[in-house]
Amino acid sequence: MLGPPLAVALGVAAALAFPEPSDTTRARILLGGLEMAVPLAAAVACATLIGQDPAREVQLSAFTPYRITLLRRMTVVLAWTASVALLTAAVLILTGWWERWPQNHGALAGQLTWLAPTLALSGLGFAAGAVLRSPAAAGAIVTTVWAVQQFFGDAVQAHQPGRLLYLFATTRGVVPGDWTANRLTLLGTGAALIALALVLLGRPERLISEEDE
Amino acid sequence: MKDLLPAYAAGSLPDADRERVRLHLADCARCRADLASWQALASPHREPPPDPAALIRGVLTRSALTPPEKSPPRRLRHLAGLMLAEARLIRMAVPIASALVMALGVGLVLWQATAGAELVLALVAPIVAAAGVAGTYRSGHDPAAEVVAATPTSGRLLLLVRIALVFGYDLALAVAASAALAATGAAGTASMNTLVTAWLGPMVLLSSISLLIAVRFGPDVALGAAVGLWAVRVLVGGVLVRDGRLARFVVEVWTTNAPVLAVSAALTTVAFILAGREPPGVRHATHPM
Repeated sequence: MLGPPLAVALGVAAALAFPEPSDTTRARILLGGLEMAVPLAAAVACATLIGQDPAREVQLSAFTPYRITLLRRMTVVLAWTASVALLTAAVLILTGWWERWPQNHGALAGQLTWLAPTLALSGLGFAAGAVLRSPAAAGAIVTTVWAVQQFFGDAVQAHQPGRLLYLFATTRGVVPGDWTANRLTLLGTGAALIALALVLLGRPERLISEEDE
Repeated sequence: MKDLLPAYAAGSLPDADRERVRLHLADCARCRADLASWQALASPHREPPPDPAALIRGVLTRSALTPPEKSPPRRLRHLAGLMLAEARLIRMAVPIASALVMALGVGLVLWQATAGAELVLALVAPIVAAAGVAGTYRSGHDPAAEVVAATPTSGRLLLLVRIALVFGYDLALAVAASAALAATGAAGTASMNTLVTAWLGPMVLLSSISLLIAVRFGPDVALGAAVGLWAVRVLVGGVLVRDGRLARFVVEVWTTNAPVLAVSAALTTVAFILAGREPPGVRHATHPM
């Protein structure tokens, strides 16, 4: 639960630590904290949802399907992340920093800055957890995808499919016209990955089979 | 009458009592049997019991004079057995994911030379190792937790063996990745030594922090903390902020140097000391310990 607030704090600290920045650069760092750090924190939390539940056997014998319980837990994580991100965005809008980044896309649609990558990366973490049943392995997958998009941003955006799946299109996008399609694609990808995870969790006995090996 | 039998066997009864017992024995078979037992005990031909002081002195002297068995082969066999047993408890997903992530990093460097090989390895290798270490320490959730609690082998030794396996595997992966990049020339002018120096310090530091937090607060918190610290390095030392005192400090910490290695060793030592203690918040159902 500490992840999203710490991610926001990291963005603010980075903006304050930058020497002699222009307002545009500082605004980019602040929005970058929302678009880069907040989704990573939420995704790592979602990656750890599956695999280390101490009450797993009890959950599997309960009337409520375990995948519904896991989905509820993921909803709590995302709701908390959204609360922190919305509060931060509101502060940035009220203080004028939101407008100082030219590609801010407004106060309302601009919320997709953090919402789309958060849902996509969290869906990836949840699906990786369902496939690998190991928080460490799922966390490594999430951080790798995030890092690849950071360090190979130009290569990823060199073609249309890559641009549509690029997580940081608001602060590092090379084709601003693709922004809306990019955000919608990320939202759809996130929903598809969550659906995939729920399908995989339809056989919850897989979650305990490895412990018996 | 039975109470008088020991004294009768020892011959210390007064005449009147001795006569009374003798008459009773003529008619009672059970008391005759008891008397036979007492007489056997009181027999002057029995060997006297050994002197306890002499016995202990003799055992200690013999123990001191007998050369010990050659122990190194047994220890090595024991250690090999421990490593084999611990290796079975590591989930296969962890080494497979580690290898895939490292291979992806190498592949991307070979495919796109925009990001330097040193930087990619310096950022991929530490998070792979730290995530592996965090996921390895599972304490009470370990499938073999009950067996570990009952075994005479120290829990710290078992943790050391398991961490050595995971970290050693990730270390070997990173060395292999460095060798592959150096051999193909994708690293530019960077030598094998330069590549290893780029990731070794950060890998050791992040893994030791991850281990300490895992021991104290659990694997999920450790994974989150490791990813958070790693993200600080990526964002503040590279993507978002490249200049300034904070960025320079972060980059300086994320290198291989003596202070980083010393701090890592200290954190690892503290983690192993804490590993033998109860984590905070543990409640015992039946008794306080």
